Amino acid sequence: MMKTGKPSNEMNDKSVLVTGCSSGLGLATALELAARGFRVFATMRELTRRGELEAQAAQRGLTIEVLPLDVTRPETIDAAIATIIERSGTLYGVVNNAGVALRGFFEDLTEEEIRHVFETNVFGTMAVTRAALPHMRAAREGRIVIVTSVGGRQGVLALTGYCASKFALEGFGEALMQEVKPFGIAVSLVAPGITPTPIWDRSIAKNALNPDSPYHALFLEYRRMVQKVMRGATVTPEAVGQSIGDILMAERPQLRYLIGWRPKLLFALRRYLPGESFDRAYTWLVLRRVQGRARSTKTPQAELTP
Amino acid sequence: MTTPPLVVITGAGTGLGRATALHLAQRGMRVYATVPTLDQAPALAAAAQAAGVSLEIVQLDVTDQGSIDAAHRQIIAEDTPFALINNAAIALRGYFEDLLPEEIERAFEVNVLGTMKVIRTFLPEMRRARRGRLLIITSVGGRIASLGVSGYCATKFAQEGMAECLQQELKPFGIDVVIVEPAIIATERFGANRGYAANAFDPQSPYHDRFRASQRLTDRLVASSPTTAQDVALAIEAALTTKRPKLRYAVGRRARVVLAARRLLPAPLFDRLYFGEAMRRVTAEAKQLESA
Repeated sequence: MMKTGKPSNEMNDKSVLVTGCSSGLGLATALELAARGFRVFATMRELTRRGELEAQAAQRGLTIEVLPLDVTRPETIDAAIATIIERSGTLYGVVNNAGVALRGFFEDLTEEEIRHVFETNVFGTMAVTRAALPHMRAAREGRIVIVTSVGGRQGVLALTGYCASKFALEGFGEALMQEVKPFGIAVSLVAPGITPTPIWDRSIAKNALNPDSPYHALFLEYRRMVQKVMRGATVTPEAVGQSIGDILMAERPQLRYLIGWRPKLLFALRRYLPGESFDRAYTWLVLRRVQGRARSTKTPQAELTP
Repeated sequence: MTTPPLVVITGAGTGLGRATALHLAQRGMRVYATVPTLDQAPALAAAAQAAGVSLEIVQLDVTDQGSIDAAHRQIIAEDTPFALINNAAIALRGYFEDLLPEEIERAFEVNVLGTMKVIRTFLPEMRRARRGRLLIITSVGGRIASLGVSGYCATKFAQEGMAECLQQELKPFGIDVVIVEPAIIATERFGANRGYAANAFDPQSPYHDRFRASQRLTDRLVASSPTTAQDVALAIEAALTTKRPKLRYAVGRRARVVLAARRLLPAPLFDRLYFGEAMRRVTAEAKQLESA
């Protein structure tokens, strides 16, 4: 798609705020942007989790400024942005990466769990964007990157709350792009394929594994399927970081980016197969793996016929 | 003769919900039309009487679990619903920076979390019946977002995502999930219920002229839209009566053309053509407003 940008000195004065940098995509993105010469303000909810990022930055001889920021607490957002403006005078880019996942069949999710996902993924991203926009408008330039997910463009079972939140970000970003473009600000939505990051380990809903759930057998098989997909995942956090670096350096960034050959293939099929045959085939395939297996293993039949 | 199917529709006091409730009742279905507050009941009852049909009107506020539970108890006492039509939603208009966080959260509370509450409440019986239809009325704005409605579109995109997931989760239980996507229609949603944010028209806003311009363009789109609430009701009827419903029913000719274009054109080209045109129109209209 795009060539990897070379480290350059012209980015030296450009400040970029990245959220959710203690691990995974945020950490890899912060390092990549620093390597390309951006002035990186890497934020995370708990500064106690800064060790990994700082160690990797030191190892590569990179300077990264770490700030506390909890996307669900507006005062921490204001404080972080005030610090960035104070130290560097500008805010060129924001990479909205902080997010949480939630796995479990819909009926096994509590409203509180889903609400928490929306508060972090959607309202949190909106809050950071809201705080950043006035500075970008004043400078008449800026880049807003929102890390969504393949799950923001294609729903999949056992991820209802998560996919709904990522779909919401896709809609938000698409509308926002049109609103702020006249002010010289570009908005890009980056959807990585499945990436083995710690977000998934923490994401199983409290009742997802409840043996009394009518979905219990299905969820067990789903989880096994995901573990397998994760082991075969081809998208690395570093690749996502590189794409985000390219977007921030591109003269005219696109609205949407997909990362990974698997999602690219998936969406090409969805686009070019006629009518809803993709949806039907996709559902059939997923269910065949989940349901077929759930039926044939030692799962008592009673669990499948509630 | 078998008893006619029982359908529940939320937000039936106005607009699409009302048109759909009346239409389905006319087709002989047993319709539970729910309204967020009972002050909407008399007008709905009068409309039903005028149409010569009978509706059960029940109060159900999608943000209030107590009211959902009460409505659920009353409905279940009669029968397990064959279909749950999630139509209740609110609008929100204003450029993103002019929206208050509370306003956006309220839209999610109703459109997303409220819809989820209702689904969660009604699903167990439908699942045990091992048949049924779960409809979610989204919007073309749940597929293609527009300027001036970022909060609303975010909720409608979220409903689309939720529906895609549920479709896979519920298929093993014999429940079909259907998304109905109406285009712009001259209902209360685009009239009295347009849902302007408190600061949407703030003259101090950097987006002031552009938002006013976008609303003038919307007015014209609404006035010229050939799509009617009855078209949506017909699509919903089709989704309820066909043997194998589709996942999506987009209602409105123009909307279907745009959706097809989005599907067939490379994304950057579509974005440049479609969103580029939207932005150009707003800019031109804003200039006109300025010079007027």
